[in-house]
Amino acid sequence: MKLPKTWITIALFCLLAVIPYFAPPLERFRILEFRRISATFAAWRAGAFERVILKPRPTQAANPNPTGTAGGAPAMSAAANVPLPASFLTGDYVGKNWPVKEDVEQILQEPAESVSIQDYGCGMNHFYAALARTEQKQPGAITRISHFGDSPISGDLVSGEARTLLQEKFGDSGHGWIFISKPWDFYYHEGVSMEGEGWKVNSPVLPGGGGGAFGLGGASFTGASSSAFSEIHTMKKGEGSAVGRFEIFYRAQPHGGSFLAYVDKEEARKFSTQADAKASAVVSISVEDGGHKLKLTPQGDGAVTLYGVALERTAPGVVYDTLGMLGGTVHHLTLFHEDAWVEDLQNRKPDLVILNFGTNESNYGYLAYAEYLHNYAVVIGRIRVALPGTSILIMSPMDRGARNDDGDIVTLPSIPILVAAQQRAARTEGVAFFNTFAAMGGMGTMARWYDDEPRLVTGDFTHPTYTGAQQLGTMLVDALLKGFADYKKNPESPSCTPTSEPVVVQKTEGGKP
Amino acid sequence: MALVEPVFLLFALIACLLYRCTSRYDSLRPFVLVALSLFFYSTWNPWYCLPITVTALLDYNTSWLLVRTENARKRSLLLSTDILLNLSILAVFKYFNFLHDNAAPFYTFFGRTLPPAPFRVVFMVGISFYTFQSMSYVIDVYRGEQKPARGFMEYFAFVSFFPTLLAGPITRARVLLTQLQAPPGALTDEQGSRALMMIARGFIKKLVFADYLSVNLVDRAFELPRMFSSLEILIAVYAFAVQIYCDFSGYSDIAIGVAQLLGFRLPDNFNAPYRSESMVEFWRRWHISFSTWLRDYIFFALPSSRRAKWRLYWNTLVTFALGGIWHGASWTFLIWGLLHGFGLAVNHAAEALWPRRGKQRPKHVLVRIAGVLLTFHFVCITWIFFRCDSTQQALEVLSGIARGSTELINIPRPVPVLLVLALLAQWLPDDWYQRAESWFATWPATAQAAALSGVALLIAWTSHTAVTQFIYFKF
Repeated sequence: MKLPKTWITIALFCLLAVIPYFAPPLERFRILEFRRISATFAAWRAGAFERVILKPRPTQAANPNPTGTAGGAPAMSAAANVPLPASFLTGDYVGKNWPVKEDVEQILQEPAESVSIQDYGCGMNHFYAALARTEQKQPGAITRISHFGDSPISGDLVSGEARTLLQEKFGDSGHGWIFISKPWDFYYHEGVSMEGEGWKVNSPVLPGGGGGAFGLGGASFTGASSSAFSEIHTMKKGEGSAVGRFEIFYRAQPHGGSFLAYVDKEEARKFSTQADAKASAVVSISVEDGGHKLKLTPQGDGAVTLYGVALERTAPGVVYDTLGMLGGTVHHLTLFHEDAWVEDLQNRKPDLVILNFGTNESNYGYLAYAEYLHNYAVVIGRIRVALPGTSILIMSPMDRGARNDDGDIVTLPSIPILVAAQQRAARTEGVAFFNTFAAMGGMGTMARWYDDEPRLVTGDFTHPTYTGAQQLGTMLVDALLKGFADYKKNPESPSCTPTSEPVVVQKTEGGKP
Repeated sequence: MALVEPVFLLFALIACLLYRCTSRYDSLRPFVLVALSLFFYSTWNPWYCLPITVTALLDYNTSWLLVRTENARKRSLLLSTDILLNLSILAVFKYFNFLHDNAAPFYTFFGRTLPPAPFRVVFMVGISFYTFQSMSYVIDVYRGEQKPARGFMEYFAFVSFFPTLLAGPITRARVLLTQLQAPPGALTDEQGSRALMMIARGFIKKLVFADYLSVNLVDRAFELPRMFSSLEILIAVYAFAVQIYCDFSGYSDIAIGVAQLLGFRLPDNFNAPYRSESMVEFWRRWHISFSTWLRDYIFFALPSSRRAKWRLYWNTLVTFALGGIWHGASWTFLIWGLLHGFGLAVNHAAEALWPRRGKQRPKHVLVRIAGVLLTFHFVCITWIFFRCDSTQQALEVLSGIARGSTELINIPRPVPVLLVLALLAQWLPDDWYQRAESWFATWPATAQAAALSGVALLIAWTSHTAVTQFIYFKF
């Protein structure tokens, strides 16, 4: 009997598909992952019925604070329902001998409802004092917050909500600092419209970035001809529809050209960026409080390098800068030119600097623990040089999920380790710490957030949706306000957490302990 | 077990060999197919096998009761009861959560508080498809258009037929049951090559086109529209139009190809829908098994009148509103269905107002282009509601488009290439693909295997690492 050709084709195809499994050099030609076969039958395990008929969820009455804010978060501890996999602490991500195991275990014990700002060394007092002046509406009492972070901040997802809440409570003193144009995709600033083209963008997070002067936020925009332009304007209505002053941040340098600034339809104002030596500089344009459009363009008499624009108002209130870098890590902040960044910070004068990284580090195959803590020490050191006494808050990354072989969404093993490492950095450096991961609900949060209605996290299990970002922003603001309330009760001797000794770690070959 | 997993191909191969080896035994054939189908379905969740068995038992027995009953009223009562029970099962597993969540205003109206739901039901993949398929069989038996199945296992094999179980095509009993009653013929070179090409095409559509667009643009733009300019959101809407076509037609291609290897011939479910010049034409080309089901079992069942033209429009609206709700318990699907019903009603009204003289005469090319653009963009607007989880999100996407900003920073470079390729493919002459199939069939087995291996490697290297689920598995 003759075998039909199709079956011969299928047999040959199978043969070709199998060969790479017996010839290691052909590994890249493998098309089937055998572990997927066992995963295919994961549904047969116990608990299948519970996957069809779910137990009822707690209602709002049972959970008085469904937003999961730190002040009254859902009754879910960080260790909730998902056991810590053994692989967490076997040294795959961070060496076995690092003093991280106890830290991680402590993080996982932390119930969400008790999450508040851990103020190591009373570093938050400066911010609370500024906020108190703003609350009293003292003339010129503007409290500035500069929120550095990665993609969720680059998209103004968490910071946008925090800005809204704080400005609603303490007053709107403007949008704060924004780039002059979109330096990368996923950049957005709530309530401001921007358009620009023709600039050469440099950033440590972009290809070829390396080190250099990247302004306050991590991107510089260089243009030499009038074909480069940027337009920034406030929205017609709603939050942030008014501005009273544009502060333009730029690089002063020898042979620097001039740029033109147009406010609405007024005549152009010319500013020269020429200086004897390279330095970060700022010029200010005061306007009548209201909606305005600012257009910036090089005059054409030489290259100009611009960084960003701060939109401010004169009335007392809060200004909240969004300084997220797409793909950013704390390591990228160390690549900023030290003197230039110090000058930029001094020009901006924030009362509180928030360092909110970890999303991208969670992708690392291995975390060089000592180097990681050192990076925080370097960045915090530079902030202290620029602004002695300014409050500094390390905000941990959110939970981040991925599907496992069974198709379930689980927390990335690296997340609690990063949270623990950041907490240790805060404790060692004597700065404040906010455990976002625990406040959200800890292990397995992304699975719950993805299944929630409306969905709180996008399909990448990394970035919050607008509703999720609202919850995160609320968590942060609630924690800040709780700390502020405690400060006001006893401003002279607020309750703080003592700092700890620096971690001493012995390195072995290859950097791994 | 997802259809785009290589594990599924392994299962399908074993299933084909097993079925074909046992197919000569009439009594064994349906048992083997049912066993294979339930094995496949149980990999999603073993409990899913229970409702489908209940549905099959219910409809099989009803069909025989209908045949044995001559009293018209009793027959009508039997049919009504059967439909009610089928819809009740569907309501419990698909609409329970929605009905409970939306009952709050009624409780408030009567001054009471909505009690918490005793449980929440997780949607059971495939239930909408097999319920419709099984219900249509009973209706056909009632109408005298279909003879009842000879035995329960034969009927169960029809209802649970694994290639179409999860997301169709919704196959009529007269197509599939008839083929189940005889052993499959030998697989010809032409049929086999066509099946392999369809499976490969389905994989490419899903893994190369649909998943890339979904992960790299559509999901972000729909979930965080404020971060995208108007032009970018518009491109994301076009990308979703391509994604859902490639996703769903890719699934249908794999299902039809695997069925062909088993020895079953299923009707096509898509035919280049985005080259439609009107909404009527669109629904002749998009999800054909669903649109014909709606036509035959809902539209024709609604009261109509030759005099009252408005009834035609009203019935179209009602039919598509129900079609929208079939997709899921959500206001966005209802709006999607109503918009399509409205579009079709306007289309019918326009044809009635301005009847074309000389229907054989081709339309002017500009009229045709305008028709294609209008239809495509109307469909794209409806896709916004289809894709969004809530009406608020849909309105945010629409207002994002209305902003009028034109930056193009968020569009990855391959996206425009994939969009152009996918849309141009709609315009290929109809016989090109058939000629390619015939040509492929003439290749020797070694060349065919090498070509398929090349395609598999291309997919493995270019596709996104995390395969996303088929969109229509949700319905």
